[in-house]
Amino acid sequence: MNRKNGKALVVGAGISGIRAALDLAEFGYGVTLIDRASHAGGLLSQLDYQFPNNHCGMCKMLPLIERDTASQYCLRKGFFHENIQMLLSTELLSVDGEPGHFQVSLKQKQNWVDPDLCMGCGLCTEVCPVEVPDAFNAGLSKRKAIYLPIPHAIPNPYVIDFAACTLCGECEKVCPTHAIRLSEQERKKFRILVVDDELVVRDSLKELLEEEGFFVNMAESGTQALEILSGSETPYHLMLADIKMPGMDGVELLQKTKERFQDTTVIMMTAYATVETAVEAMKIGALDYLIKPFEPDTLIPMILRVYEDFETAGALQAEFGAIVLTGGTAYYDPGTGKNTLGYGVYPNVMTSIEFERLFSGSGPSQGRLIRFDGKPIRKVAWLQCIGSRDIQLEADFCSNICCMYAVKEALIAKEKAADDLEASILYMDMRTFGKSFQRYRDEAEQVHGVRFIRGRAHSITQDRSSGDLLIRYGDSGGKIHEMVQDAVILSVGQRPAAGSRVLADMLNLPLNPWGFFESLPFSPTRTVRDGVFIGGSFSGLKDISESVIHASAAALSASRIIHASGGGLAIQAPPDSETLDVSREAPRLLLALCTCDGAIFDESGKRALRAHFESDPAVDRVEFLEQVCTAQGWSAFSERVKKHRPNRVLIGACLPYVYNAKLNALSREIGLSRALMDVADIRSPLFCAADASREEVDAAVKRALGMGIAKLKETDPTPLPSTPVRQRALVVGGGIAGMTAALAVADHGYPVDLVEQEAALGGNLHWIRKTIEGNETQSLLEETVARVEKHPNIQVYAGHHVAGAWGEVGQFFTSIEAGDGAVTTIEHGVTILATGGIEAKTKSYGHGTSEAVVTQKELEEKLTEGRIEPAALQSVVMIQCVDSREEPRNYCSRVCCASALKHALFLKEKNPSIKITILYRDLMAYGFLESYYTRARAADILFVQYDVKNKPSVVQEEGGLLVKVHEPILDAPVEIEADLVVLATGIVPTLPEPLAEAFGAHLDPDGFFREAESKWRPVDALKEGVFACGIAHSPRSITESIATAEAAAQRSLRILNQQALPASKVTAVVRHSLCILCERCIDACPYGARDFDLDHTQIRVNPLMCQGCGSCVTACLNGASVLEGFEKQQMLDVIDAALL
Amino acid sequence: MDQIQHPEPPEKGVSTTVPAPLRAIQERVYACIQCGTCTGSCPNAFAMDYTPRAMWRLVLMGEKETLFNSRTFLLCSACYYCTLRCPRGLPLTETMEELKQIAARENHPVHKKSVLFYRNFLESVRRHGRVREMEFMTLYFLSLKNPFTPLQFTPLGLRLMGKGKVGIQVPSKGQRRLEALFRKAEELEEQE
Amino acid sequence: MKNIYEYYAKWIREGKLKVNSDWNKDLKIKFTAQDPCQIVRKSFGDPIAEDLRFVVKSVVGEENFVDMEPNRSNNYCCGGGGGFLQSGFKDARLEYGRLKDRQIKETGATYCVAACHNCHAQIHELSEHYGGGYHVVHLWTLICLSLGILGPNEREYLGDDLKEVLVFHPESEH
Repeated sequence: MNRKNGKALVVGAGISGIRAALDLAEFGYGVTLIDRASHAGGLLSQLDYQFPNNHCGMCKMLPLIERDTASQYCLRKGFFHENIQMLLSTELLSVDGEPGHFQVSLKQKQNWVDPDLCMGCGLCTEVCPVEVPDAFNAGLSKRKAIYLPIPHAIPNPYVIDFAACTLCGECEKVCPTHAIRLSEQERKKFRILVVDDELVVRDSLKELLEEEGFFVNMAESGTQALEILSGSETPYHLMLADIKMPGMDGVELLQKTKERFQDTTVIMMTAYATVETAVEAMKIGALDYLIKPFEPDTLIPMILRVYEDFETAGALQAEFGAIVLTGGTAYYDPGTGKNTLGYGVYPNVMTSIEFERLFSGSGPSQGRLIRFDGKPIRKVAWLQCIGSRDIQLEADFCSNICCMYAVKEALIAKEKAADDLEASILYMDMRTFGKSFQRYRDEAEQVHGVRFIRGRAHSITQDRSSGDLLIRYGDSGGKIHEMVQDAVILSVGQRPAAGSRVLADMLNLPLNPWGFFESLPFSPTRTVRDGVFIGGSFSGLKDISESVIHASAAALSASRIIHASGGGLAIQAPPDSETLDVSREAPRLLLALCTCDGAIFDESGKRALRAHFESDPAVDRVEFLEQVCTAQGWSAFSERVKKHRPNRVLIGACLPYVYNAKLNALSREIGLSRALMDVADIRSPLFCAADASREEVDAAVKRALGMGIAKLKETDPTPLPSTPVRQRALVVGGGIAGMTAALAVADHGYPVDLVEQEAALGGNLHWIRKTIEGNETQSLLEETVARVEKHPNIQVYAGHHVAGAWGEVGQFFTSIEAGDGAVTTIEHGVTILATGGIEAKTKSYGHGTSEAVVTQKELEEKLTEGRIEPAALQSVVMIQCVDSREEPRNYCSRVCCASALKHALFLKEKNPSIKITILYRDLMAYGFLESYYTRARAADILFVQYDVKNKPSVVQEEGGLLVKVHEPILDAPVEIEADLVVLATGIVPTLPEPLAEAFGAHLDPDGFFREAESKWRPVDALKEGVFACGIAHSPRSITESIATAEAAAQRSLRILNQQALPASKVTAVVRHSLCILCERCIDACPYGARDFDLDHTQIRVNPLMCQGCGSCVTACLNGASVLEGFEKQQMLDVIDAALL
Repeated sequence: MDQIQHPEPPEKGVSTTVPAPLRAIQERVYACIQCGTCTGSCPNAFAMDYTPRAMWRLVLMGEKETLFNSRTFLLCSACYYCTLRCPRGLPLTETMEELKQIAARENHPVHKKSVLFYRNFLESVRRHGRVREMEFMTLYFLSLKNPFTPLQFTPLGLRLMGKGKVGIQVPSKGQRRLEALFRKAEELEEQE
Repeated sequence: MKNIYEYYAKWIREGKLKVNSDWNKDLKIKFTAQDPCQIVRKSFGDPIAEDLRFVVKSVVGEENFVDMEPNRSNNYCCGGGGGFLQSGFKDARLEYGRLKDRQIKETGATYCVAACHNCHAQIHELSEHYGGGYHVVHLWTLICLSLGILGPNEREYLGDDLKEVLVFHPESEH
């Protein structure tokens, strides 16, 4: 097992945090992954279906190599990795020190349920009398005060909602494992002093707070309060002080208290008239204030907050080399503000997240599309841009993902309703800017009949009797339409994650004008504070694929810092024992049973079990142990193992996942294959059936153990061979993406060969001067080229192209050819394709026949060279989506709208009198680019929308060009005289298919790199060891290209890191004697791990790419495909044992 | 009500020179993204020759002629829906008001009637400190220079008289009291 | 700048304006209220709409107030604003008011409180034009009525059900 001494902290355990943590852990660093929620998974734990295939697929993010170091089940449920320490309900308190050596303190909130003891039996919820809206179901259903934050998590201990809990104590009584420590004694330790000159106030407060279980004392004046404070041996934790009191007033009392009793928290109580004084008091140390008269609803939560901090006292201290912030985003609450859409008023107006819960199988109606009143939902409309692109709400940004999730939700709704559903999406611009988005949208419209309506509904009204909703909107031409819907879904946009501001202040990091974290120019992840990186949606909402890319990029940046500060050194672990070959031995199984302090077996039960299992010749010994889950219990267990030297080990205990890491370590220590060790859950049978008899329980325990024994007995202990790795990378393409990837790998100490077909490195950066944000690209180019050329680990092959390649992960052989025909062969372990793309050529709109019709790239070049002089221009027309977003090039090139905005703003700046008109279809000013769209409009640039079926035309006339376009709002033809027409033709990739195929990668229909999985493995090829980045992957901006390059580098590092790649215990093999070469298994394999070996005429399985899913086994007609660890006889024996 | 016929669309889309008052209007609505919320919201869009969105389009395109020949902005009842709901937070109702003022200042023949109505209304207020319906009507009808107009209003007038809403009034205490205020307003307007 | 609704509400809350709704306890006459554009949407927003409701509920009784749908900032314009009432486009104005008329009819209220003169005039005409038969009443009229100081002359335009409620006869006091 690979473990380096470097350590990283990842803050936020949503999908990005998990990705970043896994990336760092797979590279060998120790990772602490924290989340303030009591569960991991972030928002995605609530979402069941993902674009584009409406599946989840999150498990594809699990480690592909060294799989046994991590759990291998549904990632949405939770995950374990030997190098990852997960701390939930934990917040970052402070960060000191330097990059490479940050001193961090963390605060973990304690819950009243001990997660190590909670079995998840759920008896507590049955007796809990409190019901509150369930946040997991977006408030659509109710939960108890003691509850499961998400129903499917593993492990899944119950937690108590402090705010809702009434401390009735019922749950504590029924808890079979005594996991709940609710006792009011805990609260009694929290001491409160109430200071008020009015007796009524004092008395009522005392009563209220004592009811909550706190210790309360009272004082009628400041002087008396100070006396009590100094006279008391145990400190007071909280003081509630009235401001207006005779003698010493509240502010003076506060001052004196803070001087002498720093640890006492003070909350001021004030009449409305003295609120300002209370605010002033907060500046000198008061925590907060309450305005009298106050309701218990205001008071109690405030007290509970202070109490929670008291409970949490004692922060965890640790040192980390780097910190990755993956805090995600929040969503706009449409119930705030003017609420013209009646959210929260009309029950059938929902947010998109609520709708996701509604159609989820674990949702309030078990996935059926019905409303609260029971009416089936058959007509749904999505309203886009709710809380986005709204200057009135100070949201001059686009939220990036809402267009696509609306389409996805519409398609799922249609599927759920067996197509008997009318879905309409009301939008302003359908921003299908991502890879494959446009075709997905078109298919939704043309094949599935989703209605796309360009219009914005201004308000919703409800029919009083039916609860149906009426939407009115004006179409492009101004005609008013009305539609009645069963439900209306608000596609809510992004807001900064809660607490962003506090975190930013604490870390001294800047936020952008809307409160999102800001990265440095040309880096999606680096911040002004070296060593602290941002990943995923923390810097603005991203879809899963982009979040995963940005998370990997952040992990790379973190890794680089850790590596540079010496974190790359391997931890000196005792050398692994050589794996024992027990294949020729008869099974000798040690059955270790945890008695759990006598809770599972009584003496007679023990005897019976021992007798039963010792009769099996495969079972060598049966041992009963106390609490194997504790350190003591475990050492007792491992002593037995070392003493008796069994060749199979089965533990009977609870919570099998607890033992994974421990068993791995034991396996390494004693040399017994991990495949020959297992854990059977014998505790759940005790709780699953509360009314079961002792006999029934014993039988269930017997069955569980019998299955475990059957499985281990038949396991083939032959270890699979590992694959050696050539620890060297090849990067094809020397543009910004290729150079970035090469540098990222080389900085970690691995040699890199960088092949570029042109004579100079730099690619498209040569013609781009500035980004729309105003960042200079030439300095980026010069610096990057200089670093690449100087780097001792990078060998540049400029003027070379790849002539051929073969091989597999760990061992590739690539021959590259120079201009003079000289061929060099490179051996490398991984391949990164960064072959880039170019601006598409066009003949449309008279390009090539007139000097005055240019492309965006040509405009940029001519402006740079001075061949176009802004001062000489009077009217410029830009046409977007030229030959793009329609077949055959039916994709958005993502950068053209930004280019057009950039150039239009530049021209306007140079010559404010130029009339600029931009003809567009959907303006793809996604994310924070939206503000440049607003800026362009402010600069008097006219935007005219056109339909793809009614394109503009350019006529060359004497003295200039005449552009004709249909203006949809006036519903009239418009003619514009122009002396320059600029065409946005988009990007085409330059990744030759033979090159991709040589490495085993494939292309998508548009010639871009095809990812293994567009969302979860966005830069991997299906074939392990091959990655892509930059424009070869998909059209993207410079910064976005850099993100993919860093992600690809990070993905490579986890392979380069190893001298040899071990195969995992559950891997498919082929029994060649039975195989008829039908090749069904090749098609069935979702990981591309199988191919036809022409040299030996047989089916070959790449043990590194095989993930042990078993698809091939089910596809194979005659049992030639076998999954190690799940062989036929083994499974039949397990079933027999289960039916005992 | 019958749908009002669209006037001829403008010949050329983009004029290169935009007159100053319109320029100021443009600046107020520049951030418009033509989403049509205003049109959808407008309770009076049905009666307008150009919908509000189309009218803002004319503003942004600098189509002054077409714009001031339209009566869209006159039909704005200042309900403030569009202002409330505009995602761009544009002061649309106020801008409608400004268009009315520009039209009045520039004496567009299309809006003559409305302008005269307002002007005579205020003249009466200026004289008496409140409107004198009888006097106002007289002034209005006289300025229209159409002897048939008053006849159209006869039934309404009779009904109002019946309810005591209009009648001959004696000079009130407010006589010319507002004169200073009106003069100051005129001064301010001239300065602009 | 303050609006009179805010004062009404303030005075009622402070007990200075001693209104009560007992007169309507048995009569159970239903009222709804218009949210005038200029006062609610344009100027003071939802808080003043709340004040308006507080005042109306205080004088007619909580249970006798039926809100329009939608309401407050999202309520519809009466159709008479912005000089429309005077501008002469009568057909357009009445067409425009159709929505308001429907809203009022849906509440089933006998009276619509219109605390804006423009709205008052327009809604009055809507009731006649579309035959809704509901009455329009100023806010101050109701306040005076509930205080018992509304004279018979001010009841000209009220329905018969309110003609005899708590009538104030100044002459009889002397």
